[in-house]
Amino acid sequence: MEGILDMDGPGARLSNLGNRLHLCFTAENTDPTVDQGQHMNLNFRMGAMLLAEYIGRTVRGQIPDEYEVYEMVEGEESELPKVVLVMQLNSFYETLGFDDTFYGTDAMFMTPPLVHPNEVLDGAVCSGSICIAGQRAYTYDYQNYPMIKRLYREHGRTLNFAGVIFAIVGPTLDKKERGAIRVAETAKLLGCDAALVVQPADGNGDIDLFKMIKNLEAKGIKTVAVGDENSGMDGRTYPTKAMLDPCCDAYVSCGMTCQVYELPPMERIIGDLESVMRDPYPGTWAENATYGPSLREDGSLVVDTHVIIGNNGAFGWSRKTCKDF
Amino acid sequence: MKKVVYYMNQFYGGIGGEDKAGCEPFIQDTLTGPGTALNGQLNGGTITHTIVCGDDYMNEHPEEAVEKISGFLKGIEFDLFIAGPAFFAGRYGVNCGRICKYVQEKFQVPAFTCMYEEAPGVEMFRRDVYILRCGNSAAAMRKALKSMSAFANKFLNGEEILWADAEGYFSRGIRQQIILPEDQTADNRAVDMLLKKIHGEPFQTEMPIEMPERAPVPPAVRDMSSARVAFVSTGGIVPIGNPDKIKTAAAISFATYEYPEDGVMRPGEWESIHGGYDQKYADANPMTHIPADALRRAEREGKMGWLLPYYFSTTGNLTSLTNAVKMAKEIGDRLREENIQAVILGSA
Repeated sequence: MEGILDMDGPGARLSNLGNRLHLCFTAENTDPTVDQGQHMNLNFRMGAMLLAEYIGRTVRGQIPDEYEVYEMVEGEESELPKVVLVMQLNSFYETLGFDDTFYGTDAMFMTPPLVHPNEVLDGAVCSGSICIAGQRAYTYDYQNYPMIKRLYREHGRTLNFAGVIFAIVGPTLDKKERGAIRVAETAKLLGCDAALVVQPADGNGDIDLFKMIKNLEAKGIKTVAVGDENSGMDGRTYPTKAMLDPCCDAYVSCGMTCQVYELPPMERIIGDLESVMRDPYPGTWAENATYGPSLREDGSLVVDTHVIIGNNGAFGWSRKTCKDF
Repeated sequence: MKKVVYYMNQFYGGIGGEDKAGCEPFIQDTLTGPGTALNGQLNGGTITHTIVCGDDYMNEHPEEAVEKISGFLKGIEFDLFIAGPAFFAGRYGVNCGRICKYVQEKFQVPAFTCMYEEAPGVEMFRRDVYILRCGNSAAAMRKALKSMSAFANKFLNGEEILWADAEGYFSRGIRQQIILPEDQTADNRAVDMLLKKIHGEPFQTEMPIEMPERAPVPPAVRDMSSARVAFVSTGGIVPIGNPDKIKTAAAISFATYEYPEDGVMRPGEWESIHGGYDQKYADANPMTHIPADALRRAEREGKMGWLLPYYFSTTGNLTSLTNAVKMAKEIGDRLREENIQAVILGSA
């Protein structure tokens, strides 16, 4: 995708994906007149997905060495507070092929549905992961969603895990409002006392997020939001999100969307480093008054966290937060 | 051994009190006042020079004062510049902030000071330099020197400066990402916070949200043809020479100016002193900001009942919310005295 994954340098600690094994798919268009840019390149995306499917088929029917079992026993009632997990999906690309999909359907077409957490872990959601590498949930994230596993661990002990509601990033204001109403109505109908709302990307999705929090709190559902912050490269932009509202008194900050890092030259690089200059991705630049170009002569990089694959980590991975300096 | 230069006012420098506040800056290579105690707590460095300057002198001649101090510093090597503690002092605190900012920018050497949270120097300089927190009077000297020496030692030994609450300085308004210990992942933090919120236990959000106080929207003016109207501008248009010395940025004051008799504000008589935009268009035609002619015409044509014959002027760039609210309240009082029903607010 259109990002950088540092597996050895100072960027490795920023993302949960930094220390995992990866199988990389690289390709070039055979027709050189076709734009080689990565952005919205459907051929590359389709190629990577076909490869993933092929790899998946090779283990079909086999028993994994390790597996985890998560279940919700029906009719299991207790006095513990009822908690719902609200997950915002990537759902605002009106061109098809770039949003998250739920059972293969583009998330843009859905009004927030109620979902069993195991549907998420079992692979009903596939990531669209377009454009901003640092602010997307990847398919791996959905299938291993730490927040779901953590709520399962608490289930029956400190709380009742009531289920998952998918929230959207509405491409228009009416869809944002509709989505926020639907999330709160569903949570109330479930009889929830509290909600955890997870946001993988900032920007216009902040509006959906805060409208949701407002509606949930208005129905007496105590809400904690989990997401990142954007204070600009100098750290001095306020407000830190496109929409803020004091109704959100509990926010777990997973990091800064545009924290600048220097990445030293690496011996081994997979992919096309020059593309950083050719098609500057979010988080890289051909020129900058303060930092100079993102790619330097010695192969070192100066980038911001938009480009770090998996920087956000709001699904539970993130070990980062933001502080005032 | 790294070298530290220490700045203080005439009082702590042992020259005298208010009667000596006009004292020009001087430098000495000996310790004085709180310098002895501070130096004793430093490790990895030592105070090599002390600069003393009268509060009034720097306050009344800021440029001359920093120039003179700059002259002293050009001749010596140093690695850190410390000023204060100024506690709740007005002039002394502002002077500490001013000289730290200057030294840091000019010599590219870290500089910090120490003040009480309500001292005016805090709001003026906390975005530019580290200002440690301390008590409001010299009774808190021992504690202040302790935190100042601990902070200084971090610079002297090349240690990382942590966030504002961890170090005890006023936030410089910079938000940054940090990496937490391994067990503090977002899922753990979120579930902990949620359980506390459910059970009504205290918890701390990781992203405080401060919303500006909202001014209520007044009811609409029913009949403009009989309304008394005033014009208020943050565009920075003033008579040539800026007689009221309104600041070009981060304004703390406003002034009122009468429209010319014929209702035309001409270039050469008026100018823009707003530091946040290219002033050449406003200088060429001040009425891009203060539409005196249009206002007079609207009054003549009966579109408004009466125009207050003067306008309010200040600059709106980088003006702190505190100062903006203070000015707005003062202007509001004046408008009420004039029994104004409608205000046109022109920005830059």
